[in-house]
Amino acid sequence: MTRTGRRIRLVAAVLAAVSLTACGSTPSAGPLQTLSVGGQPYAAMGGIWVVVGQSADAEAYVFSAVHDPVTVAGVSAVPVPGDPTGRLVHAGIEATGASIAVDRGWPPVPVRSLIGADLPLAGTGLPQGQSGIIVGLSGLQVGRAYAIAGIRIEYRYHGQSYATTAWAGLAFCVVTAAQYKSGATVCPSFKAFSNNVNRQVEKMAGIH
Amino acid sequence: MVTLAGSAGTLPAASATVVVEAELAENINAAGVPQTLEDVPVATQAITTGSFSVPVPASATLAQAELQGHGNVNFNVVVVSGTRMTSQYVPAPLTPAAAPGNKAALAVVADKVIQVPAFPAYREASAAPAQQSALNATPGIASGCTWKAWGSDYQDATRIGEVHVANATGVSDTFEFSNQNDLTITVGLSGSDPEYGFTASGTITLTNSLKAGGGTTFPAGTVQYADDNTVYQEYQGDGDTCPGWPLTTPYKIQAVGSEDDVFHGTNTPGVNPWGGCLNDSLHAVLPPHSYWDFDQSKSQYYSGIASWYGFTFGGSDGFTTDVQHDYNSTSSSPTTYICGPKDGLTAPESPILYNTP
Repeated sequence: MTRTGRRIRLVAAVLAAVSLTACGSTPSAGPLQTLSVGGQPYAAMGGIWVVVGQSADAEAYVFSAVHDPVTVAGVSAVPVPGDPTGRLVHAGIEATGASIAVDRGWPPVPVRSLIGADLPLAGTGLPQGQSGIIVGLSGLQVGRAYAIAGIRIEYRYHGQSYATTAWAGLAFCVVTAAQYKSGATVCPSFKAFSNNVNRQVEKMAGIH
Repeated sequence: MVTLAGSAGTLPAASATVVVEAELAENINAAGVPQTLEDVPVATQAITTGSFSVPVPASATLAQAELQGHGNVNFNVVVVSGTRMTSQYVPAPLTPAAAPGNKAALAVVADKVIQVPAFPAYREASAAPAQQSALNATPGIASGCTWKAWGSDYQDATRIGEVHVANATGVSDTFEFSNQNDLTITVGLSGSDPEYGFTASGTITLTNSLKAGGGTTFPAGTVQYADDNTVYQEYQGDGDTCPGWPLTTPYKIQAVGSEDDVFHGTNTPGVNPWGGCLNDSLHAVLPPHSYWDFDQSKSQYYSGIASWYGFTFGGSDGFTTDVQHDYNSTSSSPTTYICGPKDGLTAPESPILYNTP
């Protein structure tokens, strides 16, 4: 899967007044920042077993310091070096305050969807303050573990394009429905795989 | 260069001298307990109003204290005014790695300004004029207070957190205590009696490079405090800037180390204020056959975390790295929900996590 292939774009109807950012340079210093807790970037780590075809969902948090909404123009997965990412198939903005630790299926909680068949319910603007962006990923290969370190968000504010990274470690193991029901051991060493993802995400996020 | 700033309150006399001491641990025994704590003056300032802002220049003493504390330095700030004095201990993180996971601490690191909390009431210290004279004669270098171990160390279960696990099949929470954490615990001070009359006098921070992998798993239905075995030691003070010296011999008791373990506490914390986490609109979902590691909790301050010689310690535990809570569910678990207290914070920001079906 190429980087472009993983990128999610808003549908045209949403983008009437928005210019999509092209792949390439976007300034990183803008009004949207990854959420920090205790002065450090927030980065929780979730792990989950999903049935093939089902999405594994994680949530990343951002904070907007400006009063006017910023408009999300694209979301892409941030890979964990050396690990397969899977395909980013869903993205949405948390709509009611309910969030996820980690989940499966889409949508896990009500979202203002950012992509595809789930047309936006109420626009794609991120208001001032904290917002949660939930993403769903799928993996094709049964018995294989996938991971992301977070998401890269491209957005526009007052006509200028920006990008920022929000951290949300997610590891998921793809199983068949029969394996899920039986609790069969698949993705051996999944916990060790997840622990390695956790360490790498902390390193990437610069958590001391 | 760091600066300690604050208010000495209404001065008992027309002027005062503020002495900042850095505490060094010495003569550490086989159990790792310092047998001597030396409060070495690192800066002084003469003031005529209640406000002070004392720059502490870089020095070998400060570097040694910082090294011993893995970036945290425990300062003793003494104010001598006429025949009266007051003092208290103030821990300060001087490097980002030592900041105990909270914004205030990181701001200290960034700004290099340590705000000193309000002091205890002034007490009589008839030697104060002599101290002032000595301090003025030798700016920055006075005879500090040396604390020598009084009796053996004492190990006590100390509350460091709390665990709430849904009463649901297969759900558990592993409370971990690993890599680097910071226990900030009250210091008790007694004017003249080694076994009586201790009052709170500031706090001290223990920053440890801990043994790896400490943690305990709490099963479904747990609503319990998580405790750690903390080591306390009593000391007898001797020196110019000791509280009450030389008319009385002061004593203090303080935490000096940790066993870096986690075990089930004996008491029960408050129940989930929401009743169930679904009542909190900011809840997070934990589905079956999944896990969620929450990496960066804020510190929760607890009073009554331990008690010795009638003195009740308070404190908080901040985690700078690695997992504190690791919620797990099995394939047979129902979906459960995670939330924080009624403070408007989402689970990622909350100092306490609740988990209910």
